[in-house]
Formats: sequence, structure tokens, C-alpha cells
Amino acid sequence: MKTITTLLMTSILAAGMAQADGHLPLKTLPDDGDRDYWLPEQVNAEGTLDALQAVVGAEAEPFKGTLENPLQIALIYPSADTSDFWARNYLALTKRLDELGIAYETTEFASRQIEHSLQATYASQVDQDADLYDFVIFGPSELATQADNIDKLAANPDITTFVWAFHTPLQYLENQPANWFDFSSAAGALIICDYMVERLGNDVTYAMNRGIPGITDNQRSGDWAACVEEKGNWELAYEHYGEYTREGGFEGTSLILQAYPEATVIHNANTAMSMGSVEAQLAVDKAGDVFSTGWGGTGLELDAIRRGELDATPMRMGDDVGAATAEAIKYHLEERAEELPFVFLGRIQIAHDQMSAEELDALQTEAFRFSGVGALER
Amino acid sequence: MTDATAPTPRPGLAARIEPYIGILGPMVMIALIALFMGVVEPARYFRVSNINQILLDAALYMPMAMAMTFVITQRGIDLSIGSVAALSAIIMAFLIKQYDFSAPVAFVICLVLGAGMGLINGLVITRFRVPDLIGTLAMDLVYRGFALVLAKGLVLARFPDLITEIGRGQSLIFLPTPVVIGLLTLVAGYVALRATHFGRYTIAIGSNPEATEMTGISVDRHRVYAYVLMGTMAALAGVMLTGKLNAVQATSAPYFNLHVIAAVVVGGTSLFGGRASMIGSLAGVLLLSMMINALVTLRIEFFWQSVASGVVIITSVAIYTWLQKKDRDGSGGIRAIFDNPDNRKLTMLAGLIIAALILLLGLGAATATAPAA
Repeated sequence: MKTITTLLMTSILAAGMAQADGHLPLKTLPDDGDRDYWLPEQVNAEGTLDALQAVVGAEAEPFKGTLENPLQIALIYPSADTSDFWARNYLALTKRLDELGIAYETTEFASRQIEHSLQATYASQVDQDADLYDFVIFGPSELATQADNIDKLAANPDITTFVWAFHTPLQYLENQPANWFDFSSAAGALIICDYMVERLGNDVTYAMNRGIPGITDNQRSGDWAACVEEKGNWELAYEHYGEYTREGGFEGTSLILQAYPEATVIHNANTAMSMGSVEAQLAVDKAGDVFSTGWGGTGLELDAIRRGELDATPMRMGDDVGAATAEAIKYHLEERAEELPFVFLGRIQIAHDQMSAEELDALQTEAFRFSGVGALER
Repeated sequence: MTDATAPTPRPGLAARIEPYIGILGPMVMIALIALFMGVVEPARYFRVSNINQILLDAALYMPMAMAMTFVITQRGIDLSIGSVAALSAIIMAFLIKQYDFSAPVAFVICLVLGAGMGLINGLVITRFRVPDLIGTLAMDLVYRGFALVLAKGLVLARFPDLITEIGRGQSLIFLPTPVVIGLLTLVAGYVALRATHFGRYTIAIGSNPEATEMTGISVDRHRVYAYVLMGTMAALAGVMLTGKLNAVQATSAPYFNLHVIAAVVVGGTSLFGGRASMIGSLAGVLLLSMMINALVTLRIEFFWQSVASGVVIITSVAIYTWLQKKDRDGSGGIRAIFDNPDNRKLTMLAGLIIAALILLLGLGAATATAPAA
């Protein structure tokens, strides 16, 4: 398989390299110089994102070619942390590959989110073992920190590189990976912002349980805060950094309820903190007094919405990223890579307490159609 | 006329190798890993690029292992090195990226800042009489907090060539630049330990601080020196990490302390003080890097890395302790172990715990019901 695909990959990579090699962006924006990354709408060819989102949401059409041996896929990602995000991506990827009739074998290089140096080691090892792999899927611990490693893998002609969990291709990369796959936290922040301003009106005092300082928290919390302040004239009472933990959410909410009673909204930056926040409100019998948000629309959050403890969450169609990656592999094998969006974004919808049980169930089934509703089984 | 003094008898082999026993534990483990990988995956493990990778990973910890050898030999410990590395590197990064300082100047400022943080650690421990463990743990929080206050979620990336050369450069051809830097710090540490007052006093302080004080040596001052050295080397490691990744952020270097302490202890430096082995620290650092690399090469699941790290550390220290035993004669074997009443009682306790576990698991399985649909 390796020898057969090498020629194919080389031609595909040549096209991808041409795109990376000074041909990005497809559209320029006035503030390009103020950022060191491109926005998805600048690098995606017209209609490609919508088309792939439609393909991912539809039944799988089997791979038309044949493979001599199973594809070898290396996954470098921080899956050793507690979030099931990576595990669900993996399940969606592999189950969609099964549906597409593509034989594969995977090798996982796991780490914790903050182990940047270990990820660099993994990237070097996959790079030097490129003869073993056809594709590498890289979920960076932090984008800028792993930029050189993305560049290094993307430059390797023996392997096709996909990036997971980021959607802002860095302008300064000399070699861009083949494709990027993510949910846009920035888009999610704007969607939940619009929903809340419309539902709660203007001049609201709010508080936040933020995560760990970083690009993800800046988008989920910072972008959301900027949006509600601009669109609804909302005022910040307090922001607590709960490090994405349940304990952090509990502690932050306890502090907010006690010291900032004027805050009528608590915005949480992930599921664990939103669960901790809900528990803290229940502990002092104040559930429902404050409008609480979650992030991601996981099963735990939807259950809390059904119980009336959580009010709204920007819900990711969780399996879109993994399934889109499987589709992208098929497109690359079929020499149709130019039909792919350079940056794929999974769909995000608002789940809220005014939806019926049936509507919530339907959303959940769609979101986790590959990895399964409820606890994961691997 | 005859010579009044009888010739000194030539020491036996055991006496001659005794000074080097400290590194035998990790060396045995290194040999075992090399042997195992030589059988299982020789082509991939022993190729030049992989050896380069192992050395690059180890290099990051070499300067800190050198300094930690002094700190631990003086009966101290420094848990703040990861935060010192992160904070000093963050400040260096800001100086370069936002204030346009030249890289060499910012680099030197970074080292001085690390020394300053080490000085604060030393003063907290020696002047406020805060135990080393608590003092450096608390300062770890302080330094990490400052790093977060300064950088928040910012990732500072893309540094001048000098910084990336320090972190991952290859311009010296025969060895990567960080490996050369790491080895040079270890050589300097070896010389300092063997041939300077500071080195001699370090061993004396660790052996018996009260007696050392009574001989007129300023124990506190020399302990502060060790922490200053530690802070400087942590800052150097911070620069190396920044150069390796070409980026730095406030949460960088999270597990430096445990990794470095493990490497030094594995290398034969005693946590109880008074015994140092700089070569052993080098062996310890190499051992941990070789082991992690081997696990990745063998595609073993990530979570086994921490299991294997623990097992290797315990095994290395146990081998060293066994080799060091002077009254080892081998008589009695297993039976002699159980003749000891303490050992019999401990064996009985272990048996009780295992039996209770089996009983409870059996009970749980017998009373388990099918999960609700």
C-alpha cells in the first residue's frame, strides 16, 4: 500500500504544497496583517465546506478504489486528558472508515494537554518513521507551540498530514498540512452570544467560569464576553479560572453566588465546569436563579438541561470532525482532494431548556451518531 | 636499613569499584533496555536519527539534573524548577518579542532572573526556616502564578536563531547544540563537586550539617548557593525548551521537577544527603529518555509510560542499594528472609490484603446485578 500510495500522495501533496506555498489566502481581509493566521473563510474554496458538511451528515458512499494493505494512520493527540472529545473523534473516524470500506490500522501517540515537549518528541518519531505511515492526524497541544512540528510533518513527502482541533492555519507555516478539522469555538461563542442576547435582552450583569488561559479559552470566554458586551451592553462582574475542572466550576460558582449576587448569568467554558457550577447552585438551593450555560452539548449537559438545571449550550455535532476526516482520507485516495475545504468546521447548534425532549434527543442522536449516545465504549 | 612503613595492601576489586557503584544501577538498566531493543527493534531504535532524538530529549534535563544533584546532596529539594523555567522564559520571550531586546541580552537576563528566583528560594528556606519541600512547593505556585499573570493565555512563538539553536540546533554537526550545552553543564558540575570548596562543603553539609556548621562553614550560605545554581539551570532549561518548541507559554514545563528528581535519585545521589554522583545523574537522565523512547518505538500505550517510569526508578535504586550492601554474603537465601520475624509479619499482612481483595471481588461478582437498560 505504501508504495502504491506514495505516487498518489506525492501528486496530492504537490497540489497542497502549491496552495501553502504562497497561494494562501484565497481571499484577503483588511486585518490580515494584524493576525498571524488565516480565517477559514479566507482559505476555503467557495462551497467546499458546505458540501463536505452535507456529505458528513449523509449516508457513506463506499470508497471506489482498492487497497493492497490496510492504510496506516498515526494519531498524535492529547487524548490522555479526561475529555472524551478525542475518543469520540477517533470512534467517528474509524466507524466512518468502516462504512466507507477503507481498511486501516491506527497507532496512537497520546499525551496530556500540557505536555508540549512530549508531543514534539512524538512528532519527530512519526516524522522519522514516515515509511510506516500513510496519514498522520495531529491534534496539537497548543497551535503556536506545535507549529514547527506541524510544519515538519507537512513537509514530509511520505506522509499526508491532517490537523485536528484547530481551524486557524498559521500564516507563517512554510508547509501547510493537507487539511484542518475542527469545531470553531469562536463561531460557537458568537452563536451562543446571539442566542442569549436575544433571549435575555440588554444590560445584563454576568460572570464567567473560564478554563486555562489559552487560545481555546480566549475564544470560548473572551470572544463571547466581547460579543455580549458589544451587542447587549452586558457588564462583567467576575471571572474565575476553573482550569476546566468540575471542582473549579463549583468553586467559581460558589464565589460568584456569594460575592456577586448581581450576576444573573454564569457562562462556563466547558462541560466539567458547567457541571460543577450546577452542583454549586444546587448546594445552596439557587438552581434556576441564575442563567447557566455549558459548552459543547455533551450528554451530561443535555441531561442537565432536561432536569432544568442548565439553560443553554452551544452543541457541537460531535462526530462531524472524525467522520469528515474519514471522508477526507477517501477523497485523497480517490485523487479528489481539491474538492475538500482546506479547513473543515463541524456543525454547532444551540441546545436549550425551551426545547422539547424529542428535539433534544434528535440533536443528541445526530451529534453522536458514530460514537454513540451515553458513556463511551472502546 | 629497612623501610619503617609497610606497603599499603592493594585494595580489592570491590573496594576499587565502590566509588562508581552509584551509576551501576542506571547503567544496568540502560544495558537492559539497549539489549531488549537490540533484539526487538534494532533497526529503528539504534539508527542515528533516533539516538539523536534520545539525546535531544535528555539534554533538556541535563543542566537541571546537575544543579539538583547539589541541592539533593545538601539534603534539600527544589519543586519549583518547572515554574522558574516557565517564568524566566516567558520574561525573556516578552523582552524579545515585545520590547525588541536582542536575543543574547534577553538570554542572559533570563539566566540572571533564574538565579534571582533561586536566591529567593534559598532565602525562604534558610532565613525563614521554611522546610525545603514546603518552601519550594509554595514558590512554585508563586512563580507559576506570575507567569500566568504576565502571559495569561498568550503563546509567544518564533524566536531568533540563537534561541532555537540553544533548543534544537545542529550547527555543531557531531552533536546537537543542546546536548553539548547539557554535557558541558554536567562536566562543570562534576568539576565543581570534586575540585571546589563549594563541592566539598556540599557533601559535608549533606553528611552532617551540624558538624559542618561547627567546623566554621556557613551552611546556610552554601545552601543558598545551591538554590541559586538550581534557579540558573532551570532558567537555562526554560530557554532550551523555548528553543526546542520555538514557543513558550505560562503552562510550559509542568513536570520538570519530578522528572529531574527521579533522574538524580536513580543516578545514585542520596535523598538523605551526603552522597553525590554527577555521572549517575547523567545516566539517570539518559535512562529515562531511553525508556520513554523505547516505549514509543514499541507503540506501547501512553499510560504504560508512567507505570514503566515508576518500575524503572524503583528497580534502579533497588539494584544500587543491593550492590552497596557490604554484609551481603548470600547465605540462607529465601529461607533466611522468612526466618526474620518482621518479614514474616509483613508477608502475613500482604497475604491478608490479597485474601480480603479476592474475597470482596468474589462477593461483588456474586451479588452483581445486570445493569439497567
